[in-house]
Amino acid sequence: MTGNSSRVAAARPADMEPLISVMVLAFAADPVARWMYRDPQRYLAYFGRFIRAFAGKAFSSGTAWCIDGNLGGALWLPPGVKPDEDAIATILDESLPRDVMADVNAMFGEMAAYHPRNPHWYLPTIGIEPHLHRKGLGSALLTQALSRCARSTCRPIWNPANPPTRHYTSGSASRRWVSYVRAIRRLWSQCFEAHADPL
Amino acid sequence: MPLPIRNITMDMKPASVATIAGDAEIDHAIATLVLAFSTDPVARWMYDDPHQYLLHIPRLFRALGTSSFAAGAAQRIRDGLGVALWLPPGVHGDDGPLEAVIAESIAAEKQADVGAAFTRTEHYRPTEPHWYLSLIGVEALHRNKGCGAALLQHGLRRCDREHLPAYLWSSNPLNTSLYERHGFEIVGTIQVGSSSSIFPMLRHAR
Repeated sequence: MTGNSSRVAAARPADMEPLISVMVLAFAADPVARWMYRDPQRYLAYFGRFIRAFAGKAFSSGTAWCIDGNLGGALWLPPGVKPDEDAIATILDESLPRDVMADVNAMFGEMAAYHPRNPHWYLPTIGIEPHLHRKGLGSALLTQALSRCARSTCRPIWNPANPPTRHYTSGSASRRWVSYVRAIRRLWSQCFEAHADPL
Repeated sequence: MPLPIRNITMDMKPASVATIAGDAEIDHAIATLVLAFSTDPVARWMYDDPHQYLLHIPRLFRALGTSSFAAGAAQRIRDGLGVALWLPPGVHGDDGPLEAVIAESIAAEKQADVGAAFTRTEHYRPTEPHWYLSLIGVEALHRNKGCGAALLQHGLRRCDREHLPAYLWSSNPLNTSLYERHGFEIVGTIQVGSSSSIFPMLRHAR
């Protein structure tokens, strides 16, 4: 299966649970997700709920996209739609260890500061089944969505949490976009390094 | 169903290994295995749907691990990021709960193939007393740090003290070289229906 033959489609309400499960598996090796939830039990118990709060409005906005059935998804928020901040605060408060809480809040605050003031599409979450990485599915999802952004002349931004997403930024990405990516990656890698326990 | 551990470099300081004891540690070990096996070819052949995987594989691992936990033959890296479940000589897991999970959770058309694959792994099992490594997994973010090697060494030291062979079947071709470095040899290849390849591996008594 390659990106060339992949089918991107708008997610239906019935796709929400499977796509949340994809995100849970896709982010299991994500440095930021596992900095927030280092403990595997805590991660399995809470990360799906966190994603629902962070990106769930993509489903109600009709801006969630899936690929090849439910092998991956891109949960976009259209201009004017923000993550559910109250739900995020609730789930973080309930689920995060105290010592991580303050830093996670600071991280979200800094992330928010990078959002453009102009109307823009926001990609809080994109994930592919972990056993199907590096087959072009992520690129196919991004290409489809970015062509829509281009039509609507809104600048897209996303959270490049994990270094393997680096290849998305090659090619046609704008300079400002790349600098945003670098700044966020630097911030998150600092967060991660500060909290990763040596093995 | 040993697997997610890759190309461990041997020059790292060995991670500390502890026996898994008590319900809290067992729950933690199951969660570790669920995340570790999410990229495993055989686990994802059995449960290709991510929702079904997250729903059922914890029960499957619990059924697989019951006898190991009861025998005190389950180990973890001390911070819990890697887990190995062994069955001591003469201890055979209770197949009943495992078969029940498979019957309930795997699509009918795939059940026969899963059952056949599991049965064929038994054909390569030594007839003499041996240690059986039923599950070993390290969380993806913590691979390549020697956790898998430390878990293997810990179990194999015991095999060597008792001069007994060890048996496993590797559900991931990426991991066979690690097992080979620890003295296992591939003794066959199993492939049933649409399954990925499974490699039974034996380590002779020393």
